[in-house]
Amino acid sequence: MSVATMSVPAARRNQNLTRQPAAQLKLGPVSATFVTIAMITLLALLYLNQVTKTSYFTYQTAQLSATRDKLMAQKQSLSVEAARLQSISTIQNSSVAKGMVAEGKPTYAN
Amino acid sequence: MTYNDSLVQRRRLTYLIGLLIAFGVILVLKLVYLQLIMHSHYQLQAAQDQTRKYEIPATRGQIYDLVGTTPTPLVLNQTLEVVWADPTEIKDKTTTVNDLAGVLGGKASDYLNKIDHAIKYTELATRVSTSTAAKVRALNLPGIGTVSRDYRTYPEGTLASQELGFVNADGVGQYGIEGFLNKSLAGTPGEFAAKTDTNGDPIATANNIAKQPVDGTSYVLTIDQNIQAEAEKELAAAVKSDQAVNGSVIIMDPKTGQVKAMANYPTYDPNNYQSVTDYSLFENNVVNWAYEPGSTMKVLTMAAGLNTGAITPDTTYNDPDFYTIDGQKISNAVGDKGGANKTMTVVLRDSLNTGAMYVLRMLSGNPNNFTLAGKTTLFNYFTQHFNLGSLTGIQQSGEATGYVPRPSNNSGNDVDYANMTFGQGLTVTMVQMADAMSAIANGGTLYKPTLIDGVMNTDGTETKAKPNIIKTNIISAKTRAMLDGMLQVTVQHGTGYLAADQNPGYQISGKTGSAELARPDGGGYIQGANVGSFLGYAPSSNPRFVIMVRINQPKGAAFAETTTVPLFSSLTQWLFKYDAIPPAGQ
Repeated sequence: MSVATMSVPAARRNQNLTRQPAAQLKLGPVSATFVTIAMITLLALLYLNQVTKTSYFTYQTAQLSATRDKLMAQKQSLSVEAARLQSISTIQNSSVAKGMVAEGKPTYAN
Repeated sequence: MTYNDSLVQRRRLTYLIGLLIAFGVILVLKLVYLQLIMHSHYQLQAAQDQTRKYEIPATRGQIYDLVGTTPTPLVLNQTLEVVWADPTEIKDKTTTVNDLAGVLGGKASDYLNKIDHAIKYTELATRVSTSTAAKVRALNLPGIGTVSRDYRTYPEGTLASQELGFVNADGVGQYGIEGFLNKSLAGTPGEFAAKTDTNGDPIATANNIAKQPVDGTSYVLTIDQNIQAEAEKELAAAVKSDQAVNGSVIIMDPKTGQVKAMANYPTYDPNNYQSVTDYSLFENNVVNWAYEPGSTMKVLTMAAGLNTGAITPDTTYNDPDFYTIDGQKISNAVGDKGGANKTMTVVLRDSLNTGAMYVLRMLSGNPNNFTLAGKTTLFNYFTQHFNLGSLTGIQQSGEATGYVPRPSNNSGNDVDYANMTFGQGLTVTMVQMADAMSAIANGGTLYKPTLIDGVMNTDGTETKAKPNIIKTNIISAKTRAMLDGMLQVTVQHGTGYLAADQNPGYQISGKTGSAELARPDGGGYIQGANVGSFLGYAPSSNPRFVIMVRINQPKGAAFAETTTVPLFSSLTQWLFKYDAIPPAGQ
């Protein structure tokens, strides 16, 4: 019976100490396009995030400004109302004033 | 293809390329022109198209008066709303006006009337509160809307109305303080320049320019609210009681020139100035009306005579009851019959016109005649010492200067000067007379009358203004003492006796004045019409206030002692209590 044999070349010295350069990563046009789109999308999301934050703060500022204006207007109205309540005609017509007795002639201490 | 054909083809190609290059060059040159050379021009044009400027209104300064020494608000700003209607948009007028009346109050018929008479826009209600405006908006009525508007508010109503003035619909101050200090009160509006979108709305960018507004200055007046209110109350009662046309009062501090009260009656409410039809109500007659003051002028005539040494309080003359000057008979007031050896004190006490003319004769160095030198001396005292015939500069719109005739040797000038000695033939304002009397009361310092106590700062503190001295030593201390004695006699024993009667124990100095009212056309005097005044100060030894009152054309009363002295007396009595001034000797 014959036995097939395979001749194995003799190993060379340091055969397996030599590194083979890694195969170069090559992107094809479709992959490159997808990667580009992904990067652009990522950048756009980052930008959107910042702009949204800015818009949010701007909105908050505008709201606070509107609240401030409202409070200033309220303060103004209250000042006017306070002045009216303290006005001479209001005091003169008040029940407290009407219940007062007219002053007499003062006596001065020496 | 032959060689020649090929050459022709190549030439045509060359020409075509040349044409294309030339065209390209022209394009490039045009681009260079537009984008480089005309860059600034188009940039500016674009900016003008895209940029809009908005005015940022400045807040008008507020006005305060004093209660004692505490500033209290007298004029405030308030943002209220206006309810407007566009008649073309209203679908159901009846329902609309009924709904509005339910919220705003008032009559539905009045609103309907306004809508029917309007074409495109009409204001149905002004000075509407924010809460009421919100209720109007909640009704969702077609053709009805609201808009904010800034209003000037006078919470004290008619108090000091002529002094304050008002702000009109254009935001401009009119009359009084509002008119005089309008620029300072208004401030400077700011500016906001921004790029806009296609709708014209501003875009928030870092390049927007904002110039902040400078708010108006807020002022604190010298007016004491309580004194002002009392003066107005007493004046109104006096004018009504005397059935007079109008009346005025001024109360000044003689040691500073500060005006504590300035009242006129009748008056008006500056919150509703639009409803006033008689525009004379807006005038502050204390400042705006120059009139012939009558015998109150004898005080200044006497001051001139005493200060020059031409007379003393005890100088006597024989009163002939009238003098004839340039053919004209000028006499004492009705009822005086003349008499011998009358002193200058009696001249003031009994208000003798002949005595006042005698002072001018003595100033002239001739007991029988006037001279140019004498008239010049009197003129100088009136105009240089007491500043009559000049603006005082008080912070009021429309101040009148008055008129003092110049001395001359012309025909008629002696008659003019004879009349001037007792306050006719010249015109003055009440503020000028009160200022002059203040100078006598304080011993010779003429202050500039002022309504401004200071400026109210944004932190609520006040920066006080200093009194403004115009002149000193306009009369000597000796003159002051002599004149004060004469004026006290006038109050105690003369035409001012009512003031003494109602204020026992107090030393009051003063003089009445009853003058004929000049015709507006300058042709003499109105028959039966007179103006009564009283000018005085108290307490005599250490004056705290100068008061001048005037009652114009009282019915039936010919002399001031029955119209003005009671008013002066009431005010003095009240001021003694208000300022806790004890009687003399206490």
